[in-house]
Amino acid sequence: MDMEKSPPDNKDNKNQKDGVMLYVHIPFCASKCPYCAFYSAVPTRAAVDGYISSLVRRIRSLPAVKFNTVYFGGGTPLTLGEDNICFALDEIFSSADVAANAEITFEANPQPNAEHSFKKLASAGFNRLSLGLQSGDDDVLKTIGRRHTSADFVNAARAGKELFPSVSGDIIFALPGGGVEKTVETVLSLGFDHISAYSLILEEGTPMFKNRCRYPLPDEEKEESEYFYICQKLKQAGFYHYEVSAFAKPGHESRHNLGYWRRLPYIGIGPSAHSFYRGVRFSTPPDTGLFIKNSSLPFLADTDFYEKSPLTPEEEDEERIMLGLRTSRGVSLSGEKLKKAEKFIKLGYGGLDGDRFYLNDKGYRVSNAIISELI
Amino acid sequence: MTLPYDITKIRNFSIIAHIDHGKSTLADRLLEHTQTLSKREMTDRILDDMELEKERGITIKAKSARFLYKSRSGETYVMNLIDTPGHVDFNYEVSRSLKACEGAVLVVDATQGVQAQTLANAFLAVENDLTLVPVINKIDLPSAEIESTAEGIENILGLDTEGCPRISAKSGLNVPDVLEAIVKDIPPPAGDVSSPLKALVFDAFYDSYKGVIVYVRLFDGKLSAADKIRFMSTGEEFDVVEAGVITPKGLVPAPLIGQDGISAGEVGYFTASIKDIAQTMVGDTVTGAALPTQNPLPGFRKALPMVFAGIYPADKSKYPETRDALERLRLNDASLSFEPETSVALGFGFRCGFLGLLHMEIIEERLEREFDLDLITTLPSVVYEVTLKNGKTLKVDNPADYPDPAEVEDGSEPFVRASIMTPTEHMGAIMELCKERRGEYLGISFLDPKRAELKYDLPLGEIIYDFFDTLKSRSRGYASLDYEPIGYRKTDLVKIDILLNGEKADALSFVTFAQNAYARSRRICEKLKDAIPRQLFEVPIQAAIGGKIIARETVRALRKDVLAKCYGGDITRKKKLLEKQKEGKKKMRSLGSVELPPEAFAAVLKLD
Repeated sequence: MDMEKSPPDNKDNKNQKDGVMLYVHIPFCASKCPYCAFYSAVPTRAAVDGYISSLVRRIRSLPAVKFNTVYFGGGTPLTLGEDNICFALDEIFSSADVAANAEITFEANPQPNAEHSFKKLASAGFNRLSLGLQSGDDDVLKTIGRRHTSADFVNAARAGKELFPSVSGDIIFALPGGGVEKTVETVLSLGFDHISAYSLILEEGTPMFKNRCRYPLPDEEKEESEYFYICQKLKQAGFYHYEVSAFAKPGHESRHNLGYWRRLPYIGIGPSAHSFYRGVRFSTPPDTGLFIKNSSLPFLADTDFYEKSPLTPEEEDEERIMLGLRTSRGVSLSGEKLKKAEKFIKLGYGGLDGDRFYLNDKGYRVSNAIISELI
Repeated sequence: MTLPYDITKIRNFSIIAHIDHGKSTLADRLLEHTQTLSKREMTDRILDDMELEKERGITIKAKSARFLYKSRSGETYVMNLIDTPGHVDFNYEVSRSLKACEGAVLVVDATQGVQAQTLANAFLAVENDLTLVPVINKIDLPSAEIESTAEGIENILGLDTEGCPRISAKSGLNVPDVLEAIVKDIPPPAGDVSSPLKALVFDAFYDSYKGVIVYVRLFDGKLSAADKIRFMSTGEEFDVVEAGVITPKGLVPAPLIGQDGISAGEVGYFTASIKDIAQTMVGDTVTGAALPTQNPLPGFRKALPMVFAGIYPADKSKYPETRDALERLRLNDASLSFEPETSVALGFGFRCGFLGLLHMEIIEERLEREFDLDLITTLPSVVYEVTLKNGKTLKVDNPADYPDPAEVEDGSEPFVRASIMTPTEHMGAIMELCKERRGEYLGISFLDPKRAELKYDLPLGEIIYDFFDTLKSRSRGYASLDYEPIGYRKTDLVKIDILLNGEKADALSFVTFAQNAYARSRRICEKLKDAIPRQLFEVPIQAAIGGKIIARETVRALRKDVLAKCYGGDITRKKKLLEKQKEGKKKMRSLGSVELPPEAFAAVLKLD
């Protein structure tokens, strides 16, 4: 397939008729969590200033497409300060076409006095808050190097509930020292409409991986029972497991999150941000200095867009299966693949809705094994 | 190179040594010294040989060479250096090579002294009535202990080291002393050129233009082009096309060195449009068809494959390549046999016969290295003889074919008579090992106060597992092993089948001594449990005799995958992970409903 050699025409949005999602990455954290393998740095005054003006330049060069969702993630976006964040969002509103009903999410940690920041963010236009509780157990929070306490979380969550139409809580299970019951109890008591639950994975290269024998990590059985405990408790509370690691009350699914799995186009801004646009997947190098340096280049010129070809039909089909099976809606299959799916259903890993094969709580846990047989 | 034939001016010798004691370096230095090859040619020769080897696939074959040496007394001698392979699997081949010589140069590394192979090789040479010329090598190294090495040679081997060459093969220091000692100490060959032809085949290889090239040592008579010769073991006759000598620069037909053929006492080659290397057997006697000798040379035995294993391409589509590669190796290795076989678990492959375990490993390695094949080799097995209740007898070289216990009247397995030489302090450990391996003790003799020779009858099936390695480790590397087959004995044998998820995995079946059945079954089930990756369902592993389950393990179902996060829409890591998993899947072997990566097979089939 021929690769496009010139930047795409900003007015051409025929492939993006469903709208595009916008992701803004803030690559700074006040400190690095010992289990985190993502790209982030501790910010300096100068870095923050340089970064915000680069973001603004990038936002101004966005193509003229309609954005249905906007997501500010990190890192820890608030390390830039709420005024800078609001400034960036204003810039998006004024220079890009954001749908009137767009889902606009802000990701935050439950820092002390969050209410003050949240007020400003809500009035700037954010309508969804994603809060990282991680654990409801203070001892566990300390062990995993988080800077907040569960009391901070409760305060932040209450403030968020008042200020944002939709609030999500992020939790981590399989943590050293356990505490899953307390965590679930805490999130359920706060009236969230969306919960993301991740199992702690020790990634190579992280301090926690290096010192893994020093942490009282759960064994396989314990990890599994924590997972099913969460699934069961959340189900009882009216949530449904709509994606591998996300639970929502009906109607409160994250549109941005689902868009990734439905292969909707998205543009990511910031170092290490990924995009899927005009049938091409590409990314910006994970280097903040370089991002700042390149921010005056035209749209896409700071990414590896020009090195990538659009996906082939085979690749598209593989993606459709791999991404589709992350959600409870599943993926439509036919022929041999459908036959294989029936084998998995027989083994208790999922179900069939018409020709759509979907995984259940048990199936999500072994999705790689299942997907790799289907692609 | 023209020189009148004079049997008293011929010296036929081998160089024997423990591994890395400097055998090849000395050989090169001898050739260089006699200016058979200039230094420049030396490198060329080595390169040529390597190319030749690659082309013809004769890497493991022995190399031999004839060269001229003008001694200090002014006489010119014809020197025939006969190379030997070196391992118990090839003991027979070694002994045939030695049989072609009157003497052997025994190289001992001055930094290490007498070692196990020094001993084993020296004994083999003495058994073949060879005169030994000890040489102390590496005397220029700072850690050389020349005097204690000499003492060791005297005490352990009983050889006189007074005035023996002390050299550095690497630098060439004192190398002429070795040539002088060969001429002085090794006797010339005996033999009568007017008697009927009597020649020993000590090596052979295949050449696509000339057919099989047979290396021979003539004991009596003469061999020339156009002679009709006969191989005495088979009676097959051939017309000699070319006869000549083997020089470091290649094969030289006799007329080119002014001879009309090769004569008693000489070493050389002949070709006779022989198409199949299996027609020339090492150790066989070649004689004239018109006027044959009455008595063949003693000690011939047909090199029969003793150990069998299935060889399968890991990538099923590589079956034709595997067959071609085996055929190529077979051209130069008459002791390798193979037949197509199929396995439910492994697909199409070959049942191959080998002289022993090392031979098997060499073939495996050559197939993988020279032909770039990725192979799965099943557990090695011996050939069992089974008498059925209906009176029929069977020979079984694949455990999967071993009949059902209900049909078997009795079974027997091949035994060997083993001779183990060891320093006396390791005797206890070795006797223990032989007992564990169902050895029948025959006797012991003390070679000197420090060394003993143990004699045992052992089932070959016990030796082909890890016997040699265990022997080495229990004797700190000093014990040596030699064995010869002594026929079949009745044994209480059972076949164990392995069932994965209730289905028989034929490639994993094995035959064992009944009393060891439980222990071995348990061990193999445990190994399988560790080697089989978790599947989406629980996999029971069972070992069974007939319908009776005697051991069981379970591979629990996969509980959790590595979940690659796709944060911020970064699905690249997940994609990579799945690609990797998918690639791995392609290589998987299905055993019924259970999928195994080839590595898991290798782990289970590897000897423990």
